Amino acid sequence: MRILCPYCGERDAHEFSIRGEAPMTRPVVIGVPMAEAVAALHDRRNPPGRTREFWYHGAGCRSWLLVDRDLRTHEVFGATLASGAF
Amino acid sequence: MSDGWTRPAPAFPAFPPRPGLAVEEIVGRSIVTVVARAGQEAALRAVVETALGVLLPEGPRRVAGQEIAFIGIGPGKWLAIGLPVAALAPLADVAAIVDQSGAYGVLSLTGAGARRLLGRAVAIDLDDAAFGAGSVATTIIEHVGVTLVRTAATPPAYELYVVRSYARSLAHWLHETMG
Repeated sequence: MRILCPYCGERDAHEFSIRGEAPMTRPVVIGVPMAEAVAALHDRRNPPGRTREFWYHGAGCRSWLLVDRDLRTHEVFGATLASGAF
Repeated sequence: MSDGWTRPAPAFPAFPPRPGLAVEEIVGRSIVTVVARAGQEAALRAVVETALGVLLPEGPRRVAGQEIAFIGIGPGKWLAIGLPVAALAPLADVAAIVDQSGAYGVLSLTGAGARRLLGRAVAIDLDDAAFGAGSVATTIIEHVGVTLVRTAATPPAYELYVVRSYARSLAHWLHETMG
């Protein structure tokens, strides 16, 4: 899989690390039943198909990216800098 | 040192010359990271142009002035090469300026064999059309992070910036790959 970094250009996926589905929201873990807190911390949707995710280009420009890709085919549709996106 | 800074010791062992390929360490070069403060990138660009006569590159490119070159290493981040950190004081209001001269080892790779050698190292397109003079790529060689700069088109010339503590690992790879 190759990701088109908006700063560096097209790079191999092993230069990046994945953080997860975007946007991340701060989990509510206080004042809720334990099962809900555990779910908020650990359960991820992992939806099949096209998804926006956070990736970190640690071996390149060290930017956080928003990557638009298909989790079934690994096709990457594009990526933008995450800074200023929210 | 008369200009007030201590030049770092060599980081690499010597590389024997090969046909069409010269690998030499560049010692004693001043390297400074310049990182724009939040929202100050346009202001930094203006100060650099006024004070140093250089137009900061927008992307991963190397732009050289009379005494200083800037290498784009990320959004709002550059390596400033050639002038000691004190000479960059006019930028300090709009950017974080940190001397990295002792933090990097720098190699120059020159000759027709340089691209072939690098082609075995990095997963980026090194063709002249994609990586001509002035191109910069921060990437990985054998798990070691490097910044690769194409300094000249003919004969092909590159510079390789590596964090000093990884210099010997990179040298090992080079010795093995140069044959």
